[in-house]
Amino acid sequence: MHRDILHLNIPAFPIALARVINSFLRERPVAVAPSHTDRAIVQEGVFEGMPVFRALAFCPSLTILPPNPRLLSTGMRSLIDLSSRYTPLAEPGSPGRLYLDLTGSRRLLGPGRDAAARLDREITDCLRLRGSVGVAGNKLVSGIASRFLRKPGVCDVLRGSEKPFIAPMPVSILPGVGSTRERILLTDLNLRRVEEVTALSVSQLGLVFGPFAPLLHQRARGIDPSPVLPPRRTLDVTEESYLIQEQNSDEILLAELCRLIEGCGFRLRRLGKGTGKITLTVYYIDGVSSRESFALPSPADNDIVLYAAAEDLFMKACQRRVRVRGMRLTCTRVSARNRQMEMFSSSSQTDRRAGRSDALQDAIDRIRERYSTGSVSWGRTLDSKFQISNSRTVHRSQV
Amino acid sequence: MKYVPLHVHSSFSPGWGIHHPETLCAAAGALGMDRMALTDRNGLYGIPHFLHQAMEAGIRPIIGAEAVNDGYRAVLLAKDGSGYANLCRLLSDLHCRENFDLSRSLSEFREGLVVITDDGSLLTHLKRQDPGDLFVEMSPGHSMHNALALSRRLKLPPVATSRAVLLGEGDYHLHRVLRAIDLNTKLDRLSLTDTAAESDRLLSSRSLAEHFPHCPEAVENSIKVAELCRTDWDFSRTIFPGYRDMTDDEAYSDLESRARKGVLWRYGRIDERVKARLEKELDLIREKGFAHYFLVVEELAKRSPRTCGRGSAAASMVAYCLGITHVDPLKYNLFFERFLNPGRVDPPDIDIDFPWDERDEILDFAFARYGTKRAAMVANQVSFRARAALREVAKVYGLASEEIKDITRRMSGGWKPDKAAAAVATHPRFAGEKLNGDWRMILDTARRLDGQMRHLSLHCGGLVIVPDEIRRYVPVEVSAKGMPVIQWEKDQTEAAGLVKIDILGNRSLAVIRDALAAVRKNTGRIIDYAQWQPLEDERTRILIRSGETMGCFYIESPATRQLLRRMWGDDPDPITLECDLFEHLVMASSIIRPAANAFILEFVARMRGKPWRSLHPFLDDVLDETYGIAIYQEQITRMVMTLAGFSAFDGDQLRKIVTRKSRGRKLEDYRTRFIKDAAKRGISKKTTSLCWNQILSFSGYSFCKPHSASYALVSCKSAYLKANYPAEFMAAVVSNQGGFYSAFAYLSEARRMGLTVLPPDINASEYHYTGRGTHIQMGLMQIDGLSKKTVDGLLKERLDKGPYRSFTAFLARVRLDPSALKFLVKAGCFDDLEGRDRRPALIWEVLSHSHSRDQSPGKGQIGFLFDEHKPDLPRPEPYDEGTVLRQESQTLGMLVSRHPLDLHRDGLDGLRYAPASEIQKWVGRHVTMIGWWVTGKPVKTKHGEPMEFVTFEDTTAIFDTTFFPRAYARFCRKMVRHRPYVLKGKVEEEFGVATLNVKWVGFLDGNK
Repeated sequence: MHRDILHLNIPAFPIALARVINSFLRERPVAVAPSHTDRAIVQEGVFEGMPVFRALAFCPSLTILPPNPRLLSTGMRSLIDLSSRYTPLAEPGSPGRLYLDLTGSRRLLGPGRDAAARLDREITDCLRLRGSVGVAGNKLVSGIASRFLRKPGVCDVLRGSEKPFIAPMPVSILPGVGSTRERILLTDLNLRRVEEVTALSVSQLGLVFGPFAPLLHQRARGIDPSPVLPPRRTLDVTEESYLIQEQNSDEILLAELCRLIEGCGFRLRRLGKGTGKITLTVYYIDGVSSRESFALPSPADNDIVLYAAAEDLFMKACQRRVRVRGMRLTCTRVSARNRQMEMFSSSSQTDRRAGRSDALQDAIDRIRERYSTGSVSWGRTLDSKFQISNSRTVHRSQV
Repeated sequence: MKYVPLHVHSSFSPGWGIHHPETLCAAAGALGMDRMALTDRNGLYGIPHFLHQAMEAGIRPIIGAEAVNDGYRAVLLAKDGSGYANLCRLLSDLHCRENFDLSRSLSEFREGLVVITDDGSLLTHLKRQDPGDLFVEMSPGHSMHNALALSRRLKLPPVATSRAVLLGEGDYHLHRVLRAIDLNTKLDRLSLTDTAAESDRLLSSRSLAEHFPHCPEAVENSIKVAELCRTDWDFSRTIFPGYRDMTDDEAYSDLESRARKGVLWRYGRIDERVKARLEKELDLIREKGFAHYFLVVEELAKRSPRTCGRGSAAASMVAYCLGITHVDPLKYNLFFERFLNPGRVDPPDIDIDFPWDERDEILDFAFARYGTKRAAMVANQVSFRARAALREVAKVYGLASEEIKDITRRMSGGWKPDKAAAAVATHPRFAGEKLNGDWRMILDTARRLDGQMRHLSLHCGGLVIVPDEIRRYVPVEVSAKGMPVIQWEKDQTEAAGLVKIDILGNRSLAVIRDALAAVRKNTGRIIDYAQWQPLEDERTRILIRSGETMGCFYIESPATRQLLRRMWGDDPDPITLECDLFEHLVMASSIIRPAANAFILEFVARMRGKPWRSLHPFLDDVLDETYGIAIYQEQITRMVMTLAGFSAFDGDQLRKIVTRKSRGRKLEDYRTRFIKDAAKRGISKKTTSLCWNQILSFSGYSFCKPHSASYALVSCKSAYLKANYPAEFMAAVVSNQGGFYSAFAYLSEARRMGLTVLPPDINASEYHYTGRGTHIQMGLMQIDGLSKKTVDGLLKERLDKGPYRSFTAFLARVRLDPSALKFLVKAGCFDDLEGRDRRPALIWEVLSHSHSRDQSPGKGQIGFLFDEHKPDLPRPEPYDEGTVLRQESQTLGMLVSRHPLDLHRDGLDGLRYAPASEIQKWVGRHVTMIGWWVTGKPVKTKHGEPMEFVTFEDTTAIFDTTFFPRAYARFCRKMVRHRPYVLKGKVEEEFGVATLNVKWVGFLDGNK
C-alpha cells in the first residue's frame, strides 16, 4: 500500500506566532533571541545564531523578542489539535513542524494532496499561520517537499518518483549531511547533487562515511521506512526562565533558580508527586548551553530539599563567566512521593524537622492557592536589594 | 605615634597589587612617612624602580617580599646585603623548586632577614631555630585578636602592618577585578581569601594607631623593625661576567692581545690613527673593567660565521677588531663616546644578531659554558595593553567573546589602557557608536589597569652572566621554555648594574646564508662573507638607488623605499650620483623615524643640491656630514656638548631622556639648562629653539650611526643578492618568513621582477622555497596542515629512492595520514604527475588506500555484511575553476596561480582606471585605481588626528597611497585586508615619487 505522509512546516515558527498575537510586528523585521530569524531579514544580513548586537548593527529597526516557550507550546498544541482531525498519527518535530500519516485514509479524506490543502487552509483560517505542506510516500521526502516551495502551499510528490524528485537537489538536503559531511562531499569528492551520491555504491560511500554509508545510500534514493510516531506521554515538570537583562551574577541567578524551584515544587505537590531527578540547563548569551543532572535519593517535592540539590547543580552547570540568558529546570522520574515513615529512623529529630518543613510548605501552598502563586515567596528569590529579579518566568509542562 | 609601613604591595605583585611604586612612594611621602618597605608577592619584580622612586620622593626604602606558598605566608625584609642575597635565593627556590617548603627554606636562608607573619606553625618552627628577628604580624581586618594571642603564647613581639594594597576609594573594586582576571573567575565567586580585605590600605600613623589601642607596642615595633633594615641600597655597581675565571688583569691582557691581532686582520697594519684610537679604547676598557665583557661577547659571536654586532658598540674599534662588529669605525667616523665615555655609569650594551634559527644554539652554548648558576635570561614583564585590559575586564563582567572582539579588533595593538577610553570616544573607528552602560563601566575599569604586571615572559635575547651566583643579585624563575629567567626586564636589569648581552635572532642573516648556499649550489660560485664588498657591484647600487628594495633587510618598508626613490630615483640627478652610497644609505635608514617627518623632505632637497648652512657655525663639525640636519642620536649629544658645554655624560643622559616616552619634568629641566648655557656662549634664542626642535625629533625611537651602519652593511648584502641572484634571494626571503610583508606580497614582487612562481610539486619542491634562474619553486612548507616531520619523511624517501612516478606509487612508498594526503592533492602537488583533472579521483584513491590499510589483518575492523572487498572507484568530474582556486587558497593560504584581482574582472566592466605602473603619468590629476592591500601604517598628524599610509598593488605594480585624516575618518572602518579596492583620489608627486592621495574607497566585490 502506498503511504501518504504529510509534513507541515511553518517557517520561523516563534516569529510567526509572535506576529499572530501582535499585529504591530507583522510588517516589521523581527528576531527571537537566541535562535530564530525571519527569512526576510536574512536578506538584510541577519542570520540565525548571529549575536544580537551585531544583528542590530546590520538592521537597526530589528525587533528582538525574548523566547516565549509558553506561546510556542500553545501554538504547537493548536497545530496538533487541528491535525488530530485528520489522523491520530501525528509526530511533532522541531517547533512548527509536524509529520502526519494519512495512509489508508484516502476514502475518508481524499487524496493526500487534497487533505494537505485542506489542512493548510484550516491552519491559515483558524490560526492565521502560513506554512507549506509536503506530501510524499515517506517522512524524508515529505520533509524535503515541504521546504521545496519558496512560498506557502502544498507540494505533492508522486509515489514512486521520490528518487527523481530529490535527484537534482543539493546534497545538503539529505538528513545527516551537516556542514562537515557536506564539505567532504562537495569540496573533496566533487559530488554536488543527490543524484551523484545515488550513483555510488554502498561500498564506495563506505570509504567516505563508514557506518553511515548504507543510511545515506538509502536516503539518497528517497527511501525512508521510518514510521510516524506519536510522542510517548511522560509526566515531566519543567520551569524555564529567560532574563530580560542577561546576568553573570550568581546572586541574581540563584534567586532566579529559586523561583524555578518554587514553580516546579508547587506543581509537583499539586500533582501529589515527587521528582527523582532534576536537570538544570543554563543558556549563555553566546549560544552555548550546559546541562547537569542530579538523581535524588528519594522522590522529593519540598522546595528546600529541591533547592539544596539545584544549588549544587547550578555551581556545576554555570562554570563559565559569560552572562546567562536563561535557565531551565526539569523534574523527571516523577512518581508518587513516599510518605512512609522510616521504620528504623536514625534520628527522630531529623524526622521532626522534615515534618515541620512539610507543614510549612503546606501552609505556603495553601496561601498561594488562595491568594495566587506570587503572594508568598522564599527570601532567596530576592536579590541583595530585596527586589524580585528582573526576569520573565514561563511555565511549560511536557506531554 | 610614628609608624613605618612594612607590608606594602605595588603593581609588581602580579594579579594582586594595583599601584606603581612611584604612586605608593608619593602617597607615603604625603602621609609623612620617611621609610617604607616594598613587599611584593613572591618577587622583587619592581625593586630597582622602587629604589629610584623612593629616592625621588625622599623615602628611605626597605627591600622585602611577601612569600606565599602552599597556604604559608610570611613577609621577609632584608636587613643587609646578605639578607638581600638570601631573599633572592629563597624567592628563586620558591619559583624553581617543585617541592618548595617555606618553613624549610626559611631555615636555610634566614640569615639577614626579618620574618613577619601571623602563621602559628611557621612561627613555632622558626622560633625553635632562633627567636631573633621574628615578629607576629597584626593587621586591621585580619583576625588581630588571634595574632595578639599568638604573640603572647609564643612570646614573640607583635608588629603592626596594614598589608597595604589600596589607596583611594575605587581601588577595592579594581583589586577584585584584577583578582577575578587572575583566577579566571567572576566577581561573585571570589572568596574572602582570594582577595585583600577592604581595610588593606596605606594608612597614616594616626589611623593605624587607632586600631591598636590595646597593643601600642605593635606600632612601636614597626619602627624597631625598620631600624633593623638597611635603607641605603646602592645598585649602581656594574657586575660584569667573569671570563673563564680570569682575574681582571689577565682578562685585560688577553683582550689587548686579541685586539692587536684583530687590528692586523682588519687593517693589515697599525698606523698612527688606528693606534691612537685603539689605545684610547683599551685604556677606557681597562679603567672601567670591561675586558671580561668584551671577551665573553667575542666568544659568543665566534659561534656563527654570519653575525651582525649592532647598537652603539659598533662604534668601538676593539669590537670591530674582535669580529663582534663589522663596520670600520674609523672609515665611517663613528662616535666612540656614544658607546663608552669616562662619565658613563651604566653598563655598556653590545647587541649581536645571529641568524634566527641559530640563536637557540648560541644560548645553549652560553648556558653550557657558564651554567644556570651564573647565567639567566632577561625577562619581559608583561602588563596590560588596551586590548587585553578591555578583553579581560569584559570577560569578568560576563560579555560574550564575539561582542568583546567587536570592540577590541578596532583597537591598535599599541594602545595603552588609559588611552583606550579616550580613543573610543574620539577615534574614527568608533564614530557614530554609542557604547552602552556596561561598556562604559568596563572601559572605566580597564583604563586603570595600566602598568599592572601580569606575568614574566622571555626577553627576545637578553642574557645576563655574573661572575659568581646569579641568585645573589636577583630572583630567578623558570620560563615556559624551561630557561632560567630573572625577575627584571631590561631597564631594571641595567639599573641594578647587571650587564646584559643581547643575543638576537635576525631573519635576514638567515636569508643571506640560505641565498649564498643556493648560489653556491646552483652556480658553484662561493662568496666570501667576510671579504664581500657588495657596493662595488653596479647592479646593487642601481637597485638601492631605485628603491626596489622589497625583501632587503632594513630598507624594505614603503617609507624607506620612497625615500630612496626621492633621493635618487630611476633617473638619478648627476649631483646625487657623487654622494657616497653607503653613507647615504645609513642616513636614509636613520632619518625614517616617527618624529622626523618634517626633516625628511628638507634632507632630500639638500642632498639634491638645495643650498644650506648649519644652524650655527659651532655645529659645522657635528652636522656637516648630514646636511646640517641631526640624523643620528649621537649628534644630539654632540650638539649640546658643542653649543651649551654639556659633558659627554650629560649629553648622553639627554639623549636617553628624549628617546624614552616617559620623560616629563627631566626633559624640561634639560631644555632650560640647554637654553641658559647656550645663551651664555652667545647663541641666539632662535638658534637654540631650532636646535631643540631637532633634538625633539628623536622622541619615540631613533638610531645611532654605528647601529644604522651595521645594519646598512647587511642591507647592502641583501641588495647584492637581490640584484644578482633574484630567484635564490626571493626564495630565501619567503622561506625565512617574518619580513615586513606577507609571503603573498613577496611573491608578487618576485613576479614583478620577472620570476615565475611554480606551485608545489611532489617531485620538485623541497621543504623551503627554492630559487634557480628565473623560477621560484614553492616549498611544501607553504601547505597548511602539513607538519615538518611529514614533509621531511616524504623528502627523505624521494632522496633515497628517486622521484615518485605516480600517485599510486607515492601511496605505496610513503605512509601518510589521509588528511595530509588530501592536503597534498588539493595543493596541486600531484598535478604534474596525474593532471589537475584527476584531483577528485585522487581523493577517492586516498580514501580507498586508507580504508584498505584499516582493513588489513590485525586492524580488527568490521566491514558490512555484503561488502565488496575493494570497490571500484568512481570517476568523478574534474573540479571546476572556482573549486580549484578555493582549494589553492585554503591549502596555500593565498592564490598562486593568478592575482586575486583577476577574480574580480567582472567588476571592472565599465570602470576606467589607471594601472599602477602608469601612476607617474597621472601626476596632478584625479584618477581611479584598483588595488589589493599589501601593508599599512597608521600614524597621527602633529595635531593628533589619525591617518594612514597604505601600500596596494594591482597586477602591474605596487603603489603607495595616503589616507589623510578626513578620508581616513570616513573609510577606516572598511579598510580590511584581502579585498579588491577601488580607490579614487589625486596623484601627487614629491621629488619624482608619485603617491595617491585617496578621497574615496569602494570595492569590486560589491559589498559595501
